[in-house]
Amino acid sequence: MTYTTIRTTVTCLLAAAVAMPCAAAGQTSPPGLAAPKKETVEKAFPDKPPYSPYAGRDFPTRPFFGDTHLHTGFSMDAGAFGARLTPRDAYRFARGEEITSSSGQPVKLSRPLDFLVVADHSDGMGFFPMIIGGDPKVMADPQGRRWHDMVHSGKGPDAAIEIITSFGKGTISKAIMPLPGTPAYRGAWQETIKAAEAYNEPGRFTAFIGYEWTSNTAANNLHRNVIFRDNADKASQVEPYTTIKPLGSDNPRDLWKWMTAYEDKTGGQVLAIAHNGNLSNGRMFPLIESFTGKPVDREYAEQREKWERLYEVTQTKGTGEAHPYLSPNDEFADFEIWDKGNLDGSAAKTKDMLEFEYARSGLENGLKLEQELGTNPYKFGMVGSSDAHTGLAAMEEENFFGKTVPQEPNPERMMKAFIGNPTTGVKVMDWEVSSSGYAAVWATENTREAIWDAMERKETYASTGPRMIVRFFGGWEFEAADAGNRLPAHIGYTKGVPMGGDLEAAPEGKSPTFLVAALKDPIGANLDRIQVIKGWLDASGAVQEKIYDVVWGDADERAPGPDGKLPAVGSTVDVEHATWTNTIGDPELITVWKDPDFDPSLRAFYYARVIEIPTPRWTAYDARRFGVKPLEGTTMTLQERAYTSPIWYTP
Amino acid sequence: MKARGASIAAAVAVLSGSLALPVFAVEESAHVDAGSLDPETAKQVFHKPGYSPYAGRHFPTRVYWGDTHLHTAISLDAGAVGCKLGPADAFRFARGEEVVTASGQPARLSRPLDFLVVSDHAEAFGAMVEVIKANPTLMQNPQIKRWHDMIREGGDTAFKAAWELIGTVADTSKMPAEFKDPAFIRSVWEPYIRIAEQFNEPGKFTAFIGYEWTSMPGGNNLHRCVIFRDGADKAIQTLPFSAVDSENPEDLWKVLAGYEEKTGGRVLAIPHNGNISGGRMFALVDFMGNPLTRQYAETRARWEPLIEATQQKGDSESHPFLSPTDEFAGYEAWDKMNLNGTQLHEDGWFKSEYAREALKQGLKLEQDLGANPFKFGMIGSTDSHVGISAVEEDNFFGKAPPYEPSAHRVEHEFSKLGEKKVMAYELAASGYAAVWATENTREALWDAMKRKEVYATTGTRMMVRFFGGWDFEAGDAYNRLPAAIGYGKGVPMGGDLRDAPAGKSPTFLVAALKDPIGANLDRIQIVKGWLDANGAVQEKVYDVAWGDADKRQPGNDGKLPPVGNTVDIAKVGWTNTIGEPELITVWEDPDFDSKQRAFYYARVIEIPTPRWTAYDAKYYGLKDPDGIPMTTQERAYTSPIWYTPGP
Repeated sequence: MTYTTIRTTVTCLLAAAVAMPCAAAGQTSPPGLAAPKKETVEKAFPDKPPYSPYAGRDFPTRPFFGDTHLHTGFSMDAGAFGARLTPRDAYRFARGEEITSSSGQPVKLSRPLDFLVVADHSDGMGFFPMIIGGDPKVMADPQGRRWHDMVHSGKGPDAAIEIITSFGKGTISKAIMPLPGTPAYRGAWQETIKAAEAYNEPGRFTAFIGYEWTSNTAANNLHRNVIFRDNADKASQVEPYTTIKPLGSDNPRDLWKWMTAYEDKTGGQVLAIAHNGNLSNGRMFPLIESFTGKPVDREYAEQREKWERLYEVTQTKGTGEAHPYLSPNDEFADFEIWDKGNLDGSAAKTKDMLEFEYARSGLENGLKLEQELGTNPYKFGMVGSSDAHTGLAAMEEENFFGKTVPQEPNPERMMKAFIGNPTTGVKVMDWEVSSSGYAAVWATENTREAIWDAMERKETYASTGPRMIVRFFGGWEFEAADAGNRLPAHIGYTKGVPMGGDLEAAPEGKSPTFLVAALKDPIGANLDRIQVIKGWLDASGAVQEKIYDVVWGDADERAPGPDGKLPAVGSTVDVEHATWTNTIGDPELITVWKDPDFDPSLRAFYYARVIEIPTPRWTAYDARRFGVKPLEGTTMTLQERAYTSPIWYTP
Repeated sequence: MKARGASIAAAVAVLSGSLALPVFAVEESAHVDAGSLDPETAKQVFHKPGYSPYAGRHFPTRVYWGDTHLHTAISLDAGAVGCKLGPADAFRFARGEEVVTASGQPARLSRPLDFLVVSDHAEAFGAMVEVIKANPTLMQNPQIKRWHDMIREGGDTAFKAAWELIGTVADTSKMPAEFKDPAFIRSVWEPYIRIAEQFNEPGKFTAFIGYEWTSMPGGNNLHRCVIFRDGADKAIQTLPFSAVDSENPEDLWKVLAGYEEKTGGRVLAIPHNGNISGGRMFALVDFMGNPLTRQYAETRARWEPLIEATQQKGDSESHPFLSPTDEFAGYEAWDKMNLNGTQLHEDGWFKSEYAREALKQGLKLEQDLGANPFKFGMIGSTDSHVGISAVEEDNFFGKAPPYEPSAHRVEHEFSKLGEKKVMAYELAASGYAAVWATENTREALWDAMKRKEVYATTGTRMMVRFFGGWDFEAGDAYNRLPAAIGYGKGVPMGGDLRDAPAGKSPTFLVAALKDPIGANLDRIQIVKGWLDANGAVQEKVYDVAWGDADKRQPGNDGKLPPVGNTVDIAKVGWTNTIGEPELITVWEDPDFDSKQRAFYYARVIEIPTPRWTAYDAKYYGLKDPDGIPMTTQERAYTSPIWYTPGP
């Protein structure tokens, strides 16, 4: 086995003692405090760490897996599509219980998740359960009553279409329309909060309070999920912000104002996570604000950087890390790409939009904006989440319960168009829906506070579904032997900063070094490789990117060719039987990598991408289990992956 | 990575699988109270498995880690040697918190445990802490008051008092009546139970109620840890049964039976340290020296479904004296003297001290008596007397406060008899109990212990699955849901196979995944014991899956070469560049005779790693630690699967 692939235990990652810093007693003393004697200080700060390598250690020792973006029957569209599960059902499923899906199928996760944010759309929240359940308000309102009766006399589909149409036109009766200030809306929000409170078990399972603010003007996706650090006492003092004017707005700046007002009012904390830039038609990471047509200004940059610490880079509606058009040399960029148009296909995609839609180009343009404005609006970490509208965070390939209820397992679910607009010709097929993803959070414990704080400091990574464990530390002093250390997390935190952190002002003659490690999902596939992706702003002010293969499996028989490219890992997938073997790749990878092309005067960021060996895609499990023949061109295998939050370098 | 054949690193996904529902086969309709059940109706009720491979699955999907044997200051001996940590500290430490030990050192586990049994000695239960605290009732006895005063003086006087107290209590005829007074014991027992209640968090951390019955006739270890399935409502109706009342295990079993009858609760007992029992733990005679009877066998099997096969005072799985061709036998062996160092070890003792031999003798007893008294599964635990379950090699806090980390602890004499000494460096940083339970609750963990779906480790947290059945085939090791296959086609560790189908040999699906922060695996072995046609017991060890299989094959002698060694003792490091992180295979017994009773268990061995003594040497800069073992190969022992011929 070659040095670079040393299979040292990566998860030790999970282990390490924090060295106590030596105190240097100063000569001056702060006002009112006598200068401590050297002996006293020495006693308080022993020069030797304790015997127990784990004592005194407060850094995160395990990642928590969850979904920050799940819809239930409380979301207007989910309800219309037949989702009957409630936020309570969603939490029960996420914590590992078996439940029955809206289509009547028993379903259970392979392993529980550690946390969940039920993020129902604020606009129209709780509408369908109210109609179906015959809420007294509904029964007293002629329009509501009619829809209720339709649903209960076998005309549910007609009612759903009528409701969605009326909702779009704004012709739903005031008495039953869930909008800020109405009893219907407040009731739905209170039940959302109560469900989270009921299932939140500090130390065991975190049920976050949250919602989705669904800015979707002209079907250009500018959605954000809003996540509260707080409990019911604070969250119930407000109502979720909506997009419908005049009470709401589709401009993110207005959402940020709402968030500011919430924190001012309650002393609580809240953050927002944007998603699906790939369906925003050039609006997610703008240089020119679509709302004003003016260049992004300093205030925009500061506000966005403050409120939007993370970006949801992968989910059921495609992966938005990188695009082959923007990164033609990246052979892994073409992964679960949705680039035909906007959210409903009403406007087709043009190539010039892509730069403002994908995370990597967003991170790159962020460096440019930082140079110009002094603040980087796109200094975000990464998570994955489901955006499922089924109440089920079921994103395992072999256990995929779809994006919507009609897409819950059935023999036809991969056969039709998911988005089809005959006018624009935009078409996205059902089979293109991704069984992705989850959010991994390096938090000190499984509580709302600790997980939220880790999100706020971006110590997170995105996974397209597998639960691989990934560490990524940057510093100036990592050396090769650190990858052989038995307590790499200790080394990582001691000598560097974790994912989401910052490096500044390179010491003379130094290049940044990175300790990166990954351990496969214990019940999943081996790893193909770890890559470090670097983006930087060159001397001429142009953004650049480069991908480095830093450690890979089967290194005893696989090395980069003359073109510098590492050959493909191969494939053991048996599509017909929907299975594979872990006879290629490695279960663990760890290495120290030093940037060979570093220029201390240039802004840069680095993040790790960890790629699994090929495995069957959900479509292969469907074909096998239902005995159906997929449509021509259906993707049947994939290489799942993780994306860490970047570490930024600032001169 | 090379294709690995037998050692393919297919998922130890072990964790996953769908449970196929049985096909409901009825020839004709059956009429019951609920109506008529015919094949058509039945079909509507029993569906084929759903899409979600995990729905309908109720077998254990993860293993829970714990210690079934930990002492705190409530134990007289622990308190006497300076243990100040009580049960609350013990639970806090086990669930992952940092505590300060008796010697003033901060300590924390690398990862929390899932459960803990605080099992303080029943004998003079709580006496030392109450003497120190000046319990008003105890202080009325001048002798006890004197001890209290001496302890308050500290230093040598306190030491003398502790020594006197232990000496007095050891002789049951001299033990002050106050220590035996049920009212006194209850005054300690009730708060002790309440602390377990306070720390028990179903689904998150299990705090069991338990105690140790410390029978030690002639200094020979017959100890048992008693573990309640129940909560305070039931446990409070009993008191810890003490060896002062009887040293005969049969009396303990009677007390346990009485508890169950009175309360409707459930309780079990786990013996430990057969290795220092003076040949008595698995003797073929009872406590009084009479031959074993069927009733004895049934009673013992009922109350003692498990044994503690490895702990700090040595490992009791196997011994080279009994298993001369097993190169891995005798791990951390303590074979110089009995528990209290009053008798030198005799060769004749071995056969009734070690687990493997007892399992073999059990087959014979079953043949002779119709019941097997030694039909036990295996767990490891610490038996630590420092109030914390710290037996990781890099984080070992010793057997008792004097053996907490210090520059000199390796030099201590632990016990001595004539020329023979047991040195403190011989203490093993071992072990933990691994339990395949359906959830982390007292009930689910206890039930898994009762059905023996458990295994022992010497401290590492490797994950091990072991299934036996008649129809496992090579492809099952490649299946992505091996646990579903395992439970679907076979029985898990601790289970039974009976009456072999004609022409079939038992097959086993065995898999191991290394401790995620630990060392790679050297090999998986299956240990078979059987009763041959002559009624003689036999054993054989098979290497069934191993690491580096592309370059390592058994030699002409059938022995697999050693895995090698990457340990750097000076730096206390090693690399996982040898061995494998995962091993899985299907193995069929090549020597099966369907008429002969047999058992099979798996032993999983890690590559060499630094022993705790190496961490001490580095941390304290020890000079010339000559003769002290500095490396170890940690391991796991599963509970056996038994084969019993048909009638």
